[in-house]
Amino acid sequence: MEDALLFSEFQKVIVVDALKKGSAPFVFKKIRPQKKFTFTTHALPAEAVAYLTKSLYGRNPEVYLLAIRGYEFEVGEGLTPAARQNLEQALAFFKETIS
Amino acid sequence: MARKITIEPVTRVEGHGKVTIHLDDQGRVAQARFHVVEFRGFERFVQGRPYWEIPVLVQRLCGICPVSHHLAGAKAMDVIVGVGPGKLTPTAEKMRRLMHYGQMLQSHALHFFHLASPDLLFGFDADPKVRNIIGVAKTHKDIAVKGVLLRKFGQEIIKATAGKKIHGTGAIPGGINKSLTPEERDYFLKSPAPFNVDTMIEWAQEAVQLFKKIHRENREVIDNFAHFPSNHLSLVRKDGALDFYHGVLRAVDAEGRKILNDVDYQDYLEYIGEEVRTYSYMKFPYLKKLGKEKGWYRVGPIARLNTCDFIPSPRAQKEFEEYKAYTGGKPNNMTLHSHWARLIEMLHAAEVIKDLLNDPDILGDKLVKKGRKKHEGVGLIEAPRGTLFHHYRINEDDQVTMANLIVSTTNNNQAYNEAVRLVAETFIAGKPEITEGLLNRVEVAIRAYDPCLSCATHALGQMPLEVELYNAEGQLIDRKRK
Amino acid sequence: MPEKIKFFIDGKECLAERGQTIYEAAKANGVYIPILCHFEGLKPVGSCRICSVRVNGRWMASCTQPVTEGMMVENQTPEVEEYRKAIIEMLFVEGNHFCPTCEKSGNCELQALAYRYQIMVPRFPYLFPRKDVEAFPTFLLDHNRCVQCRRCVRAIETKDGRKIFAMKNRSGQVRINVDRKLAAKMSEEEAQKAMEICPVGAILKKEVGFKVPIGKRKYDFKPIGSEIEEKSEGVKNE
Repeated sequence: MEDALLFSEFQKVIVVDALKKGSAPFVFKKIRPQKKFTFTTHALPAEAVAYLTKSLYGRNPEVYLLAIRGYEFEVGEGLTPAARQNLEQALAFFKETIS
Repeated sequence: MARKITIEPVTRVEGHGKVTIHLDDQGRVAQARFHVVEFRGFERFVQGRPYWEIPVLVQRLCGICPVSHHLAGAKAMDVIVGVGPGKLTPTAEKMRRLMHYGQMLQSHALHFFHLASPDLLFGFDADPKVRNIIGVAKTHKDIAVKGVLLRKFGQEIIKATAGKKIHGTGAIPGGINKSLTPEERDYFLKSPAPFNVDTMIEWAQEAVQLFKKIHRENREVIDNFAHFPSNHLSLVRKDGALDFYHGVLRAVDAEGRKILNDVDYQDYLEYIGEEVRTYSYMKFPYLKKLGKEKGWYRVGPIARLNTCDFIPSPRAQKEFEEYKAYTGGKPNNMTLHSHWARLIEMLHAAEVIKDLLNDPDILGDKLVKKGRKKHEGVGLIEAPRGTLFHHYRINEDDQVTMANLIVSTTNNNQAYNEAVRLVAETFIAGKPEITEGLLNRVEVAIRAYDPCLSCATHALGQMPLEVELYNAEGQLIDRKRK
Repeated sequence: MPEKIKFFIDGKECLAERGQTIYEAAKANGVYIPILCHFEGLKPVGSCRICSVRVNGRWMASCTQPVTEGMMVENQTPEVEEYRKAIIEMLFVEGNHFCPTCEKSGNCELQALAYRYQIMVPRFPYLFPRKDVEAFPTFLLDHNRCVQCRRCVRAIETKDGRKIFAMKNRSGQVRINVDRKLAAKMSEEEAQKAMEICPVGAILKKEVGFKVPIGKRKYDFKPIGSEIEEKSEGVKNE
């Protein structure tokens, strides 16, 4: 919820997160505000935050999702070598995008 | 030889709230129990740690109201370093109060706007797809915007006083580690609207009006929902005023008679007992004077407004008078009125924050004091959800040897059971099955007291909750999850 | 004035005084080499190996190794940095380091190194050793957090030059041993000095903790080593 307020202060927002399923090394896509209901207080999809940004604050920033493919998701696990490679590629892409 | 091993309590349901309902021979509700995993082991693993680590260590109990644990721990340590209640420097005392009232503001805002308002605005049986904060954002934009900013304001106050919004370090034994700079103060006092304290007071006032409007339109439902008599316990200031940070312990019964008369909480063990029951990790506290059966009590906003004589800030006092008049000056025993009480408290917190910010002591530089060391200390505070007890002993080497914590949820243990039992009674009446309506109402009842159980925070609209129904023979006859 | 000697760190030409160690010379040239067991003013012992560099394919502890003419030092190469990172991770898994509730947080050199080297999850399994906390009149010694750097052993002495801290046992069983009689005479100031010499939160002066607010702690805004690197930036800008 508070993130919507944060989003509203920017013109362009890039949300970076790990991706459980999907194509490697990463997915970069523009997302649209959408009412998504499968959420908890601990996790709100970026689409829902964008929706709140629009409905609560009347702002419509460009929101992108940079989802980096990971492979092992257990507490205390480090990055798998494949995930590390994906991360590095995503980081390089990110740096290029923002410059 | 076969052996049966029974491990009790057997009710660990990770991430779920669990309720069991037991019927009698006639199929009526005999008993309801609310189970929650409140087994955190903190009392054990603080042993051996240096006492000055306690305020920072114990706040890790909770991510929603860590400030309460931080300050209750710090208050107990004040006693240990010989700078007990009333002996802190004015700057330290007021910085701590500011931190705590900021915490009250943010927690009450979260509790009401984010978690409870969907139930009240859309009705208990509304589709969970609508009955959530996004639903509120769609149809009641104004309310959602205000809820978000009220919470943020409280969190920024916490950050300015404790260094971080969550798990800071502000309070130390005998004082505080920082005061405010004039710039930090003016950020809250003089920022352009809406992010300033005057706007927050206005909005908090509007939230009280909002509840009253919903109440006017749904009086029957709100007044009758889980309405049960009980004792009420809280701290009150020595003169009987509402005070969240410090005071004497007072309890009243369902009729308003004082049953614990403004006692010093350092002696809480003389007045409060804790009963262990086999089916729950959570203890059942009770007033010793009344015994285990009759001595249980409620804590939290309802209890506080039942025990205190007045609220020491003008706007909240006016609302308090109206609230008290509704029950003819008698204690209010209506579960859903806890939201009303909560919002009056939120208004009070905003008013107090303004007074504290305007107090020059908040910029002072006398932060810490030291006195004659003691080896035992008790710290109590009124946390958002109710009275919180911290009690420690240390050895000659400054290491903690004993810790006893009674958290708000534990204090309300029997009240949960009572509320759930009443809801079940109304809804089961003859048909031994768990309906969607029952599930929704159990959820609403729990949320009136505490949204911060693991079960209650994880999902909005869709609270992970399991209800089991047992017949008189103890056989499971229905189980529903949501 | 004695003649300076020329040497190279990662290809950068540097000048050193004769007799300077690689660490000292690097610092004088605005190049950061991490240290942990070393503390300025103490005799270096080269025990933690965090300051390791490679010279001609050989690993050396830069806090003890003197610079020689024309030396080619590898410092911030991926191989050297990875080696150091592994050492930091080993220190974490060998002890019980719970930063969130440690009063040294924000002022701790081990934590600061972990941030600088971006340690998320150690590659080694946690050992969760059972360790104790020893109490003395003016301070506590929390063995859970001790990294056996021996800074206290070298730095803390009585007025007549007797050691208060010593090493006991060997290898995995190694631990700091305190002379109880001598420790009993330590003043609050001496306890404060011991706490400051300790790079982690193992030596804790009694009764005071968390006195520095978040935002004013040593590493709240700048990573460890930046004080040396900034000096170098400054030189460049002049």
